[in-house]
Amino acid sequence: MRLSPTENMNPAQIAELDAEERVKVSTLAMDSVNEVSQAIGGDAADEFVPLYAIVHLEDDGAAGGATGDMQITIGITSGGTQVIGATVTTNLITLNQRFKIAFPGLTSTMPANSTLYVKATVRDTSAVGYTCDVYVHGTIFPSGT
Amino acid sequence: MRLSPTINWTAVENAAMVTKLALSHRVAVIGCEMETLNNEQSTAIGGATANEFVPELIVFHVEDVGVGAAANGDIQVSVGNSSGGTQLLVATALTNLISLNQHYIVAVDGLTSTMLADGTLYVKVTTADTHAGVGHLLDAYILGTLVVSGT
Repeated sequence: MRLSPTENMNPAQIAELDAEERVKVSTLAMDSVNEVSQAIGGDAADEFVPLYAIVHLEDDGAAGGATGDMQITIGITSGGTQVIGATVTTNLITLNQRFKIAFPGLTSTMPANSTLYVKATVRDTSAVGYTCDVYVHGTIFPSGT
Repeated sequence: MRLSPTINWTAVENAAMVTKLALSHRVAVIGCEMETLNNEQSTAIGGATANEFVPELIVFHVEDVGVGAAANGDIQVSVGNSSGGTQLLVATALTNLISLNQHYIVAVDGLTSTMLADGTLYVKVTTADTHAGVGHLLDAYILGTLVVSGT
């Protein structure tokens, strides 16, 4: 039996069906200490709760070869670590490889109109021209009062 | 951008893929009193009997800090699909979950119980936050996926 597009809709809970959001923070240079950012795009009255991130090697440049020792932080302020502290994306070397990072436990409050910042805190010294995208998956719900 | 109450299911409906794409589901069990031992709240999953609900992770959220003393972050909760049940999560400390709008994420890994999608989820305070004044409320958002029950 196939799931019907409507059979799981409970009128009282219909807003609860959109469980997951994804924010793409794109084109982080892997061979330099640098930072990129992306607005979450939500409402100030909501909370964004990051669940996990996927780091995707989206360009392997034209020279050299990565060694897979890049470290990144993710936060909601420039250079911030509210989402994760410095984390090694070990062996992220080859075009289209991905590195997944979960965020269990206690997380900071994060209004859904915030901006996410991804910073290469340790560069991959051999990854000349390499860039990665960071997809931050999360869920959004109304802030408490 | 607020969550839309009118999810456009047809936008993700591909005749071949609808059972692959329309699976993400979130159930909000709201208003657990953090200062009250054995306080329990529940919400119907809202699915069909013929489906299974498979929980993947739970996000706990301090939704209100009331007017009393501050919490000290020693609450424990269980989550199940029967009153007082622990089918999803046995008594688990949400260490340092204290402040308004903080979140605590618990993954639901490994083997999980069968759980009909028309069931009800229960969140119970098994250890009260001994410092939380009246009005500290905890919401639990259970994220999961729906699959077709075997026959």
